[in-house]
Amino acid sequence: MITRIRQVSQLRSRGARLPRVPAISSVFVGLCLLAPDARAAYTDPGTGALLWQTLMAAAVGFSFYIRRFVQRLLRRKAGTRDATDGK
Amino acid sequence: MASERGCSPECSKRSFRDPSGFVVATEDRIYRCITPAGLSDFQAIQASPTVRRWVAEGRMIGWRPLAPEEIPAQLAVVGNVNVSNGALWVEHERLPFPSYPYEWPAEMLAIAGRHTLQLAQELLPEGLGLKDATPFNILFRGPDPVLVDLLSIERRDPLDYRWFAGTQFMRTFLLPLLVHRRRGLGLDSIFLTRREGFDPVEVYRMCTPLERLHPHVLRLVTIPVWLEPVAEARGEALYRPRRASSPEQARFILSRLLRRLERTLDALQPRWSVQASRWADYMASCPGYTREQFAQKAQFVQRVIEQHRPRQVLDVGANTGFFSLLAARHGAAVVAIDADRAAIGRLWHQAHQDRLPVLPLVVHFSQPSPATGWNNTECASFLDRARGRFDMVLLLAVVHHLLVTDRVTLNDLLAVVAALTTHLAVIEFVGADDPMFRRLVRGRDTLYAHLTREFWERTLVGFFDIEHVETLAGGTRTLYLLKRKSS
Repeated sequence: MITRIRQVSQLRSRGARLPRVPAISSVFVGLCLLAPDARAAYTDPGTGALLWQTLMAAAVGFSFYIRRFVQRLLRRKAGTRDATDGK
Repeated sequence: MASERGCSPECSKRSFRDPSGFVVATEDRIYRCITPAGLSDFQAIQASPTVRRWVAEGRMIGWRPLAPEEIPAQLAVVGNVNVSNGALWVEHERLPFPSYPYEWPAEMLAIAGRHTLQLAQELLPEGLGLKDATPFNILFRGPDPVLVDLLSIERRDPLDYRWFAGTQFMRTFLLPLLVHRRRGLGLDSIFLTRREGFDPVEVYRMCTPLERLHPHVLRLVTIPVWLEPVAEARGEALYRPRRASSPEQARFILSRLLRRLERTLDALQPRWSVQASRWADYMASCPGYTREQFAQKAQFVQRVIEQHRPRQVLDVGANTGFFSLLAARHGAAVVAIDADRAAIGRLWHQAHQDRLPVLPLVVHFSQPSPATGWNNTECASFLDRARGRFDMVLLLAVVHHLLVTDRVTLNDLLAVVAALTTHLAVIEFVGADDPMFRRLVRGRDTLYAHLTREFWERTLVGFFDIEHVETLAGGTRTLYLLKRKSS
């Protein structure tokens, strides 16, 4: 791996144009590699999933308000249009 | 929570994990006691239109309340509950053959998961939910799933927007399907040692760093594993009820979460291409038979079935179920077993599609499923469940595998078959000069020199009366219709 990195840096120093891996992907992959997977005693194997579910539920809950807001807006518009037609 | 799976001869207490009730199985009946702690939930279950519809459609186990005088005396002793204390007893209908997730092909786990999610979704508008979601709550009637753990249904807090059983669903349905799909691991390897399914960390360790970024792995494994230290740091606070602003919002969130789980389940459906199979294409090519020989064999079996009209058939070494489907088309309820997961998966698809009463199970006849669970009594062994349950057992083109590959002795094999059937057995004898037999022997002729037709018939008559014999064209294979000797 180190040899490969050296080769790449040598090629670059000679002016070769090599494709760059987006930095964000590298950080992400790095995080995956470094993520701890040690398990302490008494750890509930489902806690991470429960927290994930809670976060997802919060996001879905927020979308509920947006949906309701849009529905009210559409209803109000439809109401205004009906009132205008009535006149 | 355990579910009822009873067929041991003695009266025994099952499904004991839930304080709201337990199940008692006697030799031929299944009873459930609903303790005072579970009575209010049970009243809500009884009143639910969804539950009534599911029971009527056979998707949920039916029950009948027992009057105090109908309760067998030994139940109070086994359950250690006095009916006068306010407990209620019901009797459940008994399904033809109980099976466990470690005997299912992945296709059956997927449909059991869909069944669970559908019920959770349909109960939602009635203010009910599932307090647990494990495949051990499901049995199969033929190829169709049936929810048997009645008390897994509970009244929901209308404002609570989380499904606590969701993590159990993930561990016992989604992660096993994910691992089966990506690693080809059979459900026997998963559920025999992991009743509660996979721990996300276990799957995380199985994955390569790049695999951890795959969308399904990321959502089901990687993110939960990353979040675990944060979740643990929050301690009990994580488990406190979360309230939405209105019941409508809570239902909206839960419905979306359930739909998302359904989509994930669909995406994790088993693919045939990943299921390496040595046997799934066997019936298409039929090595060892000419077209005429196979037709002769099929005619023999059909004639026997039409003549004797068995009600319960066990097909050992069923492969993709040619003979199981034949028996089912003639009105028999069939349990088809084979060690090949892909072949059994295909049979399940076929039986499900044709609406035929075939229960296909991944069971190796020479290494049948052991008794599992607490005290080795929660889930009976395959042989304990199967003994005396069938009026016909089919062993077609399988005996030579058991005798040669598995080195089972003929006497032991016939003793087990005689214990399984109450009446008939159809066995195909494959002679030592048969090309397929020769392939199995692989030059070790001296080990099997005694397996002559004379030895075979001499051993047979110790257990069965020979009713009919037909040798297939070519002369190396012979079909026997056998009648069990009365003990």
